Parts: sequence; structure tokens; C-alpha cells
Amino acid sequence: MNAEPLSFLAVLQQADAAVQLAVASLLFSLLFSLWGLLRLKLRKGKGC
Amino acid sequence: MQTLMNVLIWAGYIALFVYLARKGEGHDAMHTGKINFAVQALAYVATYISAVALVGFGGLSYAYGLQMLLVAAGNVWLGTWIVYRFLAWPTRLCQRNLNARTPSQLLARGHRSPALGKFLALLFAVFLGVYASAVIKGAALLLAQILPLPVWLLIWLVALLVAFAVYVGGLRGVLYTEAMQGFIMLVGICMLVMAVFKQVGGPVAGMAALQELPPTALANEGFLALSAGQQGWFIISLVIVTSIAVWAQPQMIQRHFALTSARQVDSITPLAMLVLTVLVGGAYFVAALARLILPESVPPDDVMPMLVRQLLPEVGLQIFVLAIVSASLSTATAIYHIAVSAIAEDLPGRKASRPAWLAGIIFCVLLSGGCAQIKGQLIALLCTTSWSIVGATVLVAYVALVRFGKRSSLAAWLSCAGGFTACLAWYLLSHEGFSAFVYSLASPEASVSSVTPVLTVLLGENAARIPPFFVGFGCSLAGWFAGWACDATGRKHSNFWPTSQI
Repeated sequence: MNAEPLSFLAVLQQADAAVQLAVASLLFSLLFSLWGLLRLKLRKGKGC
Repeated sequence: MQTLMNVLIWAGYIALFVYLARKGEGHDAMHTGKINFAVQALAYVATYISAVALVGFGGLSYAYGLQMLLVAAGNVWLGTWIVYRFLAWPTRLCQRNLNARTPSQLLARGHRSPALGKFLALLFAVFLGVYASAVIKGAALLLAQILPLPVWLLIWLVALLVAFAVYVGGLRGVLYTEAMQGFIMLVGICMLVMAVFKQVGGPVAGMAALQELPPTALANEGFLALSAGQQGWFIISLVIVTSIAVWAQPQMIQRHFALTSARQVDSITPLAMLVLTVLVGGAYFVAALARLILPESVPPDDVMPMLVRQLLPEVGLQIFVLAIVSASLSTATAIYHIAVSAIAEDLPGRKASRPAWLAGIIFCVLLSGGCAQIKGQLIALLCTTSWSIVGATVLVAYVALVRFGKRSSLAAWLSCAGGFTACLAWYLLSHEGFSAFVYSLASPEASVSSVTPVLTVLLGENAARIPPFFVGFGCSLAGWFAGWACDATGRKHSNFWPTSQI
């Protein structure tokens, strides 16, 4: 019998607020930094 | 064949290290020249993250679970984003306007007190010089696992390698070697993260499995929760000490001296945050998942090495050891540079000549190499307290100067002296060895079998649990406000010139 695939949010909901905050802020920092680097690349592409 | 491969990896590493260190040849030892933003971002992260953070805190993640991700998040947001958003460029402006060559000079000239500069230089030389011994010893112990050489010899070899980078490259060479080391750390941790995820079936499955584990004494609310009581308080204090005390570490302040424009900060910030998130977030996450792979009750410092030996192939093992050695070397080169500049330039009060620079380096090699060879309680205390004491001493006066443009000799002195004294006293009074010494002075005849720290006797158990950095910071802040209130001249001559020029 195949186990049901685990959902990230479902697993995260089982963590307490402090761990949820830590995981969320690390994921946000990944997105924030990638967005920052992309913006930089676009700015350089435009020759600004 | 494998041995040849290992030799090639290490020879390549040393060759690249020497090549990059020599990029600083011909430059002033305190000047960086123009440095690319990626180099600065990697150098900042490499200076920030030492082997203690990767191996030691990795071991703590194994014991405490995913709550250690709070430390990673604190390092990324408080220790990097806030620093680059609010402190880095004002620091560079202050340094340029004051024509300061070192962090001690920045504070001394900013607060118009040459004596404060000497005091800070002495503090940096002693505490960072001795702290470097712990960093160097960490690298030597790790190298001893893969090289057939005695630890004492490896300590001297590592100290000489670090000294070479500082002597030949100066600050520019140090930044380049640190950037390379930061990149290697990133590669090593990425390899380990992928291997652990493969082993446990991915991050989500790993978290779900961790959730099922029963609580332990340290992770008393489970591995996906902040612990209750003293254990949870320990994690919170770790977040604050590692993420806020870092603002005022001189080796970190000095990284901002390489900035060329405010726009460069916009480039450095996302890259430094990205690298740090992957490095510390990845390391602590997989170290927590190691509980699903390794047997129970592994000593904390053995968690990461055991994980690597179990999961990575031989080449991967070598690269990971390189990553950890890089973490040590990058921190050591930064610390050496500060300690040497304190000895060669700040204490004599004149620009360091080449012979003075060399003499400073020799002193640092002997001090840190010598301290690393001996096991003394005082040295152990200096090593563990260095980060907090330097942070508690400098933080308030530094932020007041660069961020708020407040310049007051009296306030800076009271703040630095208050922070230093309170933090050191708190450490000493909660130290069992020092407490035993105090008791023996009070009653020489009495034999003490189990020692209760003096602080516990005086203020109770809860007070003894307050981290010394918090106490030092509080006293430093109180000292600043007291000095500011009394220093009418300082108040009159303070302005907001650093921020007005952004």
C-alpha cells in the first residue's frame, strides 16, 4: 500500500509557532534574496 | 588512486589560497582597493560562520531539533539584513570621513578619544588573539583526522598559513581568500544537505519523522517545537548573542570598509543572505535530521563528522573537511588581521610599517599557536567569552556613532567600560573555577567539594542563567545614557553627519 504523499504545510502545522516562524523566515529570506539578485540582474541588463 | 585524488584536492586548495592571498600584494595592508560585491558578500559570510557554527551548532541541532533554525533565521535577518540595511554604509561613510584605517580608530576618532582607541586595541589584541587559538586548534583537530601529522604540528602549520595570508595579502588578500573559502563551505554543505535528504526521503518526510520522535531532556517539547524552560531560553539567548553581538565584532565592522557605494550594498545584501540561508539553514536542518540516521547519544561535536563519514563518498568527505577547515581559516584570517593591526598600528599610534606588521604577525602566531598548545582554564574562558565581551563593550558606542551620529568621549568611555566590566564579571562570577578561587580566598582552611557559583549565591539561580552579553549590553547602554546626560559639550558637537550623507 502506498503511503499518502506528505504535504509540507500539513507537516509544518504540527510544529509550534517558533519553529514555524523560523522555517517561514528562512524560506522568505531565500525568496527575498533570489528576488534581490534577479532585480540586480535586470537592472544591469537595462544598463542602469 | 584515491590518495592521489586527495593530494590533488588539497594541493589545489593551497595553490588557490596562495594565489588569492597574493592578490593583495602591493596594496596597503589596511586598504582593500575595489572589491567585487560577490567577493564581499562571500567574505562577510565566511568571516561570520566559523567551524564552531557549523560543527558545534550542528551538534546542538541534533540535540535540540528544528528549534535551532531560529538561530539560522536570526543570523540571516538580524545578523545580515539589518547590518547591511542600517549599519554597513553609515560605517563606511564614518570611516572615510574620519580617515580611520581600523575599527579601533573609527571609534576613537568618532568619539574624539585616542585613549579609547588604545583600550579597544588592547582588548581586540588580547581577546581576539587568544580566540584565534581556539579557531586554529579546531582546524588542526579536523585536519588530524585525515593527515598523518601530530596535532601540535598542524596547529603551527595552520597558524603559519593564516599568517601568510595576512602578511602577503593584507586586508585585500584576506577578503579574496575568505570569499573562496565561503564558496567551498557552500559546496560542502550543499553536498551534505542533498545526501541527508536522499537518506531520509526528503525534507518534508524528514520533518514528519522528527515529529514522531519522543521528547528528550533538551528537546522537551519535541523536535519541532521551542523547548520549555531553561532549554528554550538557551536557544533564544543563542539567537541574540550570535545575531546581535556580531554587529560590533571588529572583524565584521572592517568588512564594510571595502564598500565603494551605497548601491553596492543592494547587491551584497541578497547574495550574503542567500549564502547564509543555505549554509546555516541547511547545516542546522540536516543536523537535526541526523537524529533519524545516527544512533542515539552521539556527542554533539561528532554529529557532523559522523554524518559526513556515513553519507558522503571519499571525495565528498575531503571536500567537506575542506569546507570546515575553510570556515576556521576564514574566521582566523579576519581575527588575525584585526589583532595584528591593533598591535602594529593602533597601540603604537602610528601607521604600521612593514617590519611592525611582520612583528605583529609573529606575536599573533606565537600567542595563538602557543595558547592552542596548552589547556588552561583562563584560555578556555577567554575563548568562550571573547564574542560576548567584545560585543557588549563596543556595540552601543559603535551604533550610536555610525547610525545616530552621536559623538561623546565620556558616553563612549562609560559605555565601553560598563559593558566590558559587567560582561566579564558576570562570566567570572558564574564560573565554577573562579568561584572556588573566591571561596578559597574567603576561607583558606575550608575544603569545597562541590562549588556553587558566586553569582548563584548572591543573586539566585535565575539570575545566573542570564547570558553575560545581556548584562553587559544593559550596563553599556546605561553607561552611554549616563555619559550622554553629563556630557553637554559632546551633545553640542554631535550631529547626524553620517546619515545625512547617504
